Amino acid sequence: MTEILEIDDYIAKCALGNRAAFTALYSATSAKLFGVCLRVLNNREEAEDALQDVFIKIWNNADRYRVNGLSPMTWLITIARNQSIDRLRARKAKQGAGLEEAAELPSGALGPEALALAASERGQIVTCMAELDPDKSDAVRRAYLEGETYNELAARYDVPLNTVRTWLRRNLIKLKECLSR
Amino acid sequence: MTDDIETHDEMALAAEYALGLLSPEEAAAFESVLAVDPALRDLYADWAEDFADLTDDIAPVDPHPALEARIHAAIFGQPAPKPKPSLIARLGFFGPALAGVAAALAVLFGLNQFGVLNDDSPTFVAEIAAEDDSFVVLASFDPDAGTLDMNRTVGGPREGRALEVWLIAGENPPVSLGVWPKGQAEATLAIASDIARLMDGGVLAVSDEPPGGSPAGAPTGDVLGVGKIMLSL
Repeated sequence: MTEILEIDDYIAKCALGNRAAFTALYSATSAKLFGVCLRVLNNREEAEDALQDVFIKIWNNADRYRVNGLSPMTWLITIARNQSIDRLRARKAKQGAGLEEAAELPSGALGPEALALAASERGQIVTCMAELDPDKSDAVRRAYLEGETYNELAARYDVPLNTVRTWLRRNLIKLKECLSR
Repeated sequence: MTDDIETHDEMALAAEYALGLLSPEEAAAFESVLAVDPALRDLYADWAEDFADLTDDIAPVDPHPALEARIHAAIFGQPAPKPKPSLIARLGFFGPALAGVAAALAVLFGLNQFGVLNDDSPTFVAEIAAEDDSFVVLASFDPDAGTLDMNRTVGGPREGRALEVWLIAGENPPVSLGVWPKGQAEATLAIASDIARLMDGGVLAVSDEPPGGSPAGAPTGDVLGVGKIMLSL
């Protein structure tokens, strides 16, 4: 993916207040990040609000990007994911948990940049997750993509809170062993 | 053995932090260690990379086209709506902007002294935009290749009309750089070397013209966007 360097460059220029770089960054990454927001929030309007916050955060924090050691897409995806999870948790707190909305189908034509991003290789984590019990990999996925807490996971798998934490931690270590191979 | 347990413990903790499973108190404690412990930062970064891969199969979806303008307004402030300003009026806005550019260049120059930035030949960039961002073209000029690459990110030609690109250097009348290829968002124009010399510090503009471009050798239609050419990193 030749775009990684460009994205890195756009973020560096955003840190210097370059608006053209911000526009270029938006056009290169907004569809991928919106996909992530939409996946977490399952609601177009909320996902757009989240995406707005995401890009405001990117602009404001671009100068801190180098410090954290993340690759550019990971940094952006992490911001999008965390922002969306925060919103999702706020929504759950307001509505009471357990309300599932019907998934919206993605729509809209994709630009070449978006397609290039989508075509990025699947990470090793997908392979390693398959080595865990289905319950355990499911829990990791739910925590990351649906922001489920230990409380929610304990209720879902009908086990005490401490138990769910113990087995999830054990499986995270197992996962790391596979990822480090 | 103790080390192993500690390592495992930190590894799991970093994963829990990356997943957002820690309580607010635990997360705050983790962050305070993260700030001073590079090894823990690496552990966290590794997890963040791995978990981000879980989004690989999430398809990109284009957000509503109006969202970008909304975000720009939220960050840069809402520009006051004005009736189409003349080109000259638009150029007047560059005074304060240029001071900012000069400051940024001073910073860049300082960085370059320490070899932070790579040493590629200079590239010039411009954001050719309408004041309300309803029309935006990102342009990048490579003096070595003599090419002007442009990417139209917002807006386009009017029905049955064409876009023409102009260079305004100093007090000289606009020089046509070419007509935008029909139906394409991206375009590359070859720039003759005598014109290329005028790019640094000039202004790029895009005007609305009849198909095939201005018959007059000067812009005849509305100026859709204007942008100062600046030195890039």
